[in-house]
Amino acid sequence: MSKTVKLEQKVKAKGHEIAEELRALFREKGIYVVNFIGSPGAGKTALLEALAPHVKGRAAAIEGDLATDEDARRLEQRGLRAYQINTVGACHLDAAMVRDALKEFPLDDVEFLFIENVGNLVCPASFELGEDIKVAIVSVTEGDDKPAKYPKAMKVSSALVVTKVDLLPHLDCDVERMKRDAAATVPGMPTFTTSARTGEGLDGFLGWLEDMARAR
Amino acid sequence: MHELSFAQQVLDGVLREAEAYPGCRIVRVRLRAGEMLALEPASLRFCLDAIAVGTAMEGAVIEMEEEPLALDCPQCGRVPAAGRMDPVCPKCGQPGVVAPATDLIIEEIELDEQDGQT
Repeated sequence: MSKTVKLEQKVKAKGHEIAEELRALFREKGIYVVNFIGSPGAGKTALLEALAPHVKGRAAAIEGDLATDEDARRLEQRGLRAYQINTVGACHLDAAMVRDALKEFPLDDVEFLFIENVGNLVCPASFELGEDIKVAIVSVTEGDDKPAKYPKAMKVSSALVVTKVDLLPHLDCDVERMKRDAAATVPGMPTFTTSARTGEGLDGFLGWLEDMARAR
Repeated sequence: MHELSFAQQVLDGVLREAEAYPGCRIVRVRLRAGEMLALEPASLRFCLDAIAVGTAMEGAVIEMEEEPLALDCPQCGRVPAAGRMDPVCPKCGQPGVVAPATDLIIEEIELDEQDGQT
């Protein structure tokens, strides 16, 4: 005899409970946490390097990469406290990795924690790290079709940061299309067009982050 | 490769439900995955088969249905829009909003009552 049981049970990605614990901890400490997701080479670290002088002393970063501590060192050179997680094989950070990192990387007097996920526009979108928001980072060199091709990454993000816009004169990249496709998943999604090289758009993005943190 | 994490959560969820039916084996699991989750069915099956070994779910048939993307149009309501991210209604051309389809749902499980009761 067999028996069928209807469940309609929603499955959360692994680490969901740990992420909730982390979220509570960050709230208690008054830290606003931003999870950066984007492809390898999208300019996630460069964006943080460019933001570093503006947030030095009141922000820290956790860097996720398969290998090397290069990113954490790059940020430290800019005066940002940084901790490197090496995932070895994993294509995304999970909440347990962040929890372990915090054991060695106490965060007491910071207002912002930036978590730079492993370069990947697919998997990191499924995992909560206890962050307040995810921000999708897409560079103009990747092509203007990326927001449309990675809808989940857009859907879970609160803003889209388009990077490397100083290269636009050399490319056929329609930034308006990127904005439109991002807004298709999240109506009214703010998009910031930035260049870590020239500093374009950084004030706008940082101002928005400050507003978001205040409004929490 | 996020399938393994989801597979583990599916296995945990199914085994938790099956606790109410002691002595039963799970012979079939029906899942529904939102298109936006980008879960690869073959990969999810492979992970589930591998981690279910030695549990009451070992050897269960995994059925997986994809919940396609849809567009919420102010005029036409929810319109199917599989594979499309274009925020324009395919029926009337008005701007709409792409509906999430971001969940993985365990729809049902089928248990085999080995001891022949009921």
